[in-house]
Amino acid sequence: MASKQELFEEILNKMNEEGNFDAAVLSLKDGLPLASSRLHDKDDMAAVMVTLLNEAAHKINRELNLSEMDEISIVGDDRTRLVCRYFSVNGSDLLLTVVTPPDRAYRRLTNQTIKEITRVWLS
Amino acid sequence: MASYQTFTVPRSVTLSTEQMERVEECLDELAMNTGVLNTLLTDSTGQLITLRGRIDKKRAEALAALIAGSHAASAEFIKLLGKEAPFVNLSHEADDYSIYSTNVADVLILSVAFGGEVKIGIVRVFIEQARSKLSEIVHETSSANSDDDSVKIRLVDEDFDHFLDKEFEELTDHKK
Repeated sequence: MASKQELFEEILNKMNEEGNFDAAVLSLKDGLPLASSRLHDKDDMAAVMVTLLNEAAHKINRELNLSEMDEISIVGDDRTRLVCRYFSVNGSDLLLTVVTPPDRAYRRLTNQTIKEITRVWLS
Repeated sequence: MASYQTFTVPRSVTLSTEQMERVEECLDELAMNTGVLNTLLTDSTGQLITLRGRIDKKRAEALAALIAGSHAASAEFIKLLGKEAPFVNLSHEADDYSIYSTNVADVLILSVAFGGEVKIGIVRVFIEQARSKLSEIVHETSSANSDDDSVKIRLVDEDFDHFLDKEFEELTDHKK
């Protein structure tokens, strides 16, 4: 029987195929990776970098009294986008980070992926 | 003048058959969720309680004793820094093989060995879940056997022989 990591990786691979995304990482809020797809040796580094982004974003959120953060997005000159989606499962705060090609829709696919991850986590 | 040192004898834990079955279930679930290669549950002195994986039992026993030694050393580091010894996680990471271990309610040590393909985040999340379940089981046994609390003993540095002789004499007299 597959481990949770293998199941999460299957979900990420499926999402990447459907959305033609470049890469995806599922990590804990503090940057420890849980599963990744297509980033290979850079996935641990990507998870940590996203944590830095996360800390800055939370600080901005606090200082400006904004409501709960749902996602952070960085868009490059060529419209390539790094999206970081936040969610919690069973008391664990998780981050789903995805790199999408220029002008590609990602909300529906990442929502679906978060639902799938939550289902597997709780199973 | 004799100087004394205080030692704490670790608390022992006695598990019923039903509790042991729950422990086994918990370890199976941990192995299934994480895909780790080996799982070891020992008491805090390094005595192997149960084992999962393909590791040879003798090597597992040696590994268990060494991990318990690392935990004891870490607890002493913390004491030397003037802190109360808290719950401790230890992680030994190598390129292709890592060991992560955690203290369960100060009486057990749960350790897993895993390959480079397993993400540390997965291990940390699910070992924490297992630790929480095992702690509940340990607390059940503690409330059922209130005599199991840790025992503090004081040993004399300079008059240790004299102390032992006296104890033996008293014991022999008592038997007579």
